[in-house]
Amino acid sequence: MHERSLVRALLRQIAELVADRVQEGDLPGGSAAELPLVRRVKLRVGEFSGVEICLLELAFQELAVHGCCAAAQLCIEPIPLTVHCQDCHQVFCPEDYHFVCQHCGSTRVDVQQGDGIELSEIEIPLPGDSQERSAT
Amino acid sequence: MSTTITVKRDVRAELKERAQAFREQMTRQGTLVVNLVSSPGAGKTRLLESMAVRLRGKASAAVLVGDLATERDAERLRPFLPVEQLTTGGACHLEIPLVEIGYGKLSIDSPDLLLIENVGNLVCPASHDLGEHLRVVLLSTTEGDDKPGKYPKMFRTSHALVITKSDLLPNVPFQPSAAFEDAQRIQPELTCFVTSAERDEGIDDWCAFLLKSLAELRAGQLPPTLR
Repeated sequence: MHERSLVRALLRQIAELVADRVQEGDLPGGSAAELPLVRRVKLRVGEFSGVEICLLELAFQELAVHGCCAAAQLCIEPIPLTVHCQDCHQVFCPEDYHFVCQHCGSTRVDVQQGDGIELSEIEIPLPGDSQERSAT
Repeated sequence: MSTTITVKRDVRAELKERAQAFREQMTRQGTLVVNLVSSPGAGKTRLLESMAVRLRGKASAAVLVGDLATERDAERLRPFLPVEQLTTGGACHLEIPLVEIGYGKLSIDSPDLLLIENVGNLVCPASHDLGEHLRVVLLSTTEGDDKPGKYPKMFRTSHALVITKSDLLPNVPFQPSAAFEDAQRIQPELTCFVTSAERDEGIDDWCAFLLKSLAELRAGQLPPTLR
């Protein structure tokens, strides 16, 4: 159950990114303590990342209550595990996590994607937006 | 109207970078770092006790041992070699910051082998790079030979499989070859050892593998990064 520590790291990274934008003048907001509220957080979560999506969502709901993600919607794009065969160069999704090429039988296969967790986008409403709110 | 910040960054990037920096530091000073993972009770501490005896005079070793609570494992290992207990306070795995702190507290500088005994868990430790050169998964004969397929990430990211408690084989329905074959479908590069710390069997081969890996590391030949 390391989803909670992962969400803590994620929230810290988002707050830092938003604070940087505020400081650069790209976003309205007074200080780091008064950040604009994030509307949407997009994550790409690999099937083989070791992260359980429903636990990640629960941890986000629970831990985001204070700070700039308090009203944020978490959008998760699940990424299937794909591997690349070094011998025949085919790309495939391993069945039952058997890392053996389904085309030529080679065991020289590399994970191409699906073992990571990536913060892809943060969306923040601008002043005048009907849904705009400010964090306190 | 809204603004979108495109990030495209690995959420674990910071920890991964720290782990990589630690590994590079250890490589430069010639220390082979080994991360031992398994379910609770598979025999990590017992294996370390028998390794400590076997490695004496051949290589200096130090241990960082992770647990949720107590110093029990450190107390068991202290008569044999320098050891620091890492208490996670409830966390189910070790992370690189704890390893860095523990390493700094050890009473030995630049050991030949830095052995990290992870928290007993076949799930979470698979996702955390501790700056190790080798990840070793232990599987005891009492756990069943069907475990590798059930915990694919742990076996995929391990360089070696050490089957422990082979002295119990006559009494349990466990086939080392079945466990090894199951694990090899997930990680074809895996090297397998069958051991009994109780009877001191297979420990020699296992230690010889570590000493060979140490010599290779010092010759500039690093084990592959597995993912």
